[in-house]
Amino acid sequence: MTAEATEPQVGEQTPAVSRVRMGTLLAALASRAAVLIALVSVVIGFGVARTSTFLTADNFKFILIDSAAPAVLAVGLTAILVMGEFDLSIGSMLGVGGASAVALMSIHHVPWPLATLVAVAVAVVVGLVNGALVAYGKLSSFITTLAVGTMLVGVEFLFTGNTTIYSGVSPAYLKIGQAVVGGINVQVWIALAVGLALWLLLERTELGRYMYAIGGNREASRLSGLMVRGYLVAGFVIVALAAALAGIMITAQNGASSPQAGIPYLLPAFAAAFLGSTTFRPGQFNIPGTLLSVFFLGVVGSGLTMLALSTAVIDLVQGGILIFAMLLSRLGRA
Amino acid sequence: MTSVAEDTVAGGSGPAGAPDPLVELRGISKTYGGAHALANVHLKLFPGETVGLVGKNGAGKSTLIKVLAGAVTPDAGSNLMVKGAPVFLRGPRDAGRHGFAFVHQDLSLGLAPNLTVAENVALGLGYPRSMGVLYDRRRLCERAEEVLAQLGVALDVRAPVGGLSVVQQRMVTIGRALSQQANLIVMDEPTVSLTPAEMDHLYAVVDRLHGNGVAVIYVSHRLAEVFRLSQRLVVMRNGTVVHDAPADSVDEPSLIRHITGVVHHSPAGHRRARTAGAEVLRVERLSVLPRVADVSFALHAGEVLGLAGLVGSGRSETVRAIFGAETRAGGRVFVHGEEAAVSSPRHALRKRVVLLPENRAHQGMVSDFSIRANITLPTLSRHRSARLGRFPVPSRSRERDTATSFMKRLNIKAAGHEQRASALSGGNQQKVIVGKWLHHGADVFMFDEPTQGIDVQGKEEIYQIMKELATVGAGVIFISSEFVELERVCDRVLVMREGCIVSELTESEISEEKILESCFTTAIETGRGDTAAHAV
Repeated sequence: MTAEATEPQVGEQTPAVSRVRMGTLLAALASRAAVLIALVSVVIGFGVARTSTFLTADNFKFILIDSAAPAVLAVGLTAILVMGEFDLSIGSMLGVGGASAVALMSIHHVPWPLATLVAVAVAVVVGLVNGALVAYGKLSSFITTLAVGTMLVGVEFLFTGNTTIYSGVSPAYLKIGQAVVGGINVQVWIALAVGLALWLLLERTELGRYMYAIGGNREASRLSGLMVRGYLVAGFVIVALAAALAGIMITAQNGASSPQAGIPYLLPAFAAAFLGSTTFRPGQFNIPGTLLSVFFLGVVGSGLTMLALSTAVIDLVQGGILIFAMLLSRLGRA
Repeated sequence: MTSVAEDTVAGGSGPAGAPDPLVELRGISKTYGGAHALANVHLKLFPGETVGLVGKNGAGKSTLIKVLAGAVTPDAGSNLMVKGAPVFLRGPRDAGRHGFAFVHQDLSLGLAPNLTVAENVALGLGYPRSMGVLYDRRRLCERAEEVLAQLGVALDVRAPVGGLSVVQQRMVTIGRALSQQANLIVMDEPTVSLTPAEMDHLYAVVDRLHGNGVAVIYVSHRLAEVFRLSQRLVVMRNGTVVHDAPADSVDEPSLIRHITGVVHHSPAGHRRARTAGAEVLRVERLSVLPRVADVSFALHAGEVLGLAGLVGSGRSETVRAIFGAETRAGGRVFVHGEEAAVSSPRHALRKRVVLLPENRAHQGMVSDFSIRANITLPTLSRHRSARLGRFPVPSRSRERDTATSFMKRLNIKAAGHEQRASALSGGNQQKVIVGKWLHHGADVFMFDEPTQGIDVQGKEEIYQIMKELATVGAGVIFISSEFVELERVCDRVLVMREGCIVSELTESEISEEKILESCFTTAIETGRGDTAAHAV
């Protein structure tokens, strides 16, 4: 009865609707491409202000290299955010990943492949611990990973004695961060490869579908027979591995490891993933969005530095731009 | 149908002879979409009177309470009078200001478990102050003790509410109502999950409220206690008051008749007799804490078995436990005569047992997913791409084929298989979930309230699906609170009350009236089951 009553009304509205629709179309575009629009705007802005330094191929190469390790970290983080969980231990994990490899090579003279393998193994253990505590121990991932992160700072201390290590790093290891392939630093290729791999995983495999389903409705997923806890553990292992890889890339680039190097990478990774969730597929974390957002944050950082502003102003503007991009994406939605 | 709503506006204050009513509802109506939740309800409430409010699920009791609480705004033309003056409630605070207090069935509404008894009693009323800003703990406790003493309740007012028993927590809620100087207290199923001794305690408090001149609306499915406590009985059905008379002027059988209404008997031939086959599911002495105790039954191939009962009787917990979604406290489950562990939904699915859960949005589907992704969620590994061989990579085109075939078969109306499930109507959402399980395949299909909130045509389609499943040899369990549909679809009906199966109806015995009768029959005959259900 009710269905019959409402249908004619829809038909009557059509002429008036078309004008409204243009507006919503633009708003929908803004909401789907918020970060892209913001990126183009800041490139134009900085380009006008600092044409000779900002708009150069070299500058964009630098931005890409600087964004590579953060991109690997943020892409890994996306895999756990997709399931509606947090991982705050990634900063410390990044630190442990790089520091353990460097310390083993430098202090204990372990050959570089083995040292790198140990770093990877540590990451797997950390992921399993985080995952087990959250999935089977039913602890809040927010607090659990904060606690595990704190413990990882201690682990890093055990490896390095809290000193900066800059000698005894194998030249082969340095290549992970410094080699140039096809005219571009190998780190950029690594980041793209990791991005592509996780994109394929999330978008094209059963595991990825299940991860999105768990994030969308955990109870419905469980009642559909998914191994929710197993996938949660897998997600935590993926993000820990990505963090370790990012740590290896950074220490390889610097040829050194400094204490607690990972902490400054933590929040930008979250910023990029959340910003990315406003773009391409609004409301859902997605790899292309995360990658674009990492690059966007890199461009903003580079441009603001070139304007020779004070650190205080840079921080204020950086935060403001983030908020602006998020607001832009809200336009198309209620 | 109800064009009566306006003609009562003109009425002035009450008649001179009778005592003035405290609260008067004049022609209260509430429409959702096209459906009347309340249709022209008239009701007077007097100080010091306990009114028992009864009716089956969906009769309009909850909506009526929500109107009094200011949580639901009635339709235009409705009039609510308090002490002879018209009143418009904009929200719960307004209801409190007029002296209305509510004891909800769900204790999480209204109590802060981390605060003490005294703090909860005074919650929202303003705490006594000392030196302007600090609150005076001593006076606060004294006040609470005073109020609880009025109720005859001895409680440590300094203890946190979270550690109290259910009945003690209800007493705290009632205490708060008293300290608000409430003159109307509405209690919604206050004895659910109480032990017999706790119930007696609560009854004593209700009697005391009556003595103190407070008006009480007492909502309950247990007719015995309604008779024991009320001076007046009000029965609601289909959104209207169908009976309003002193409690001693009516007996239990006639009250049940008022509750159920006239049942138009559908001809017996309406239900096509299916030949029940071999046993597909057997449940032995199943218990789920805190609600289900000692449930045993069998389900046969080709049978639609109805599971009836009032909300809270343990039907959902029973099927959830069979599906492994709820932890069993005891009992065994057999599928095809073999004991099945069913410790998780995953196990149950492997045994070809599926559950269509009660709450579509929270348990049944991923709202952000497309129709396609929802249908293929449990069967995704059957959609692997042929090209990539054994890799766990779903093929979009295979998924699309599955989705479109089920959309066609189940008549799912949508823009396409990529439409988000959240954008569908309730009926189409339900059909997507049905499609998901049809594609998975099973020998036991359990449907928990599958027709809730679905239009008439959608309901018919769901009935048809259940019948077809039985015809092709599956066993079907159908839970519904609308007993008419059980009457229409089921070959056999089990009635649950307070966690136990209390009766079994077969073939010609199945009627809405009979089912309701079993749901309401007083606890006297089955005393054993009741105490077992509550012994936690």
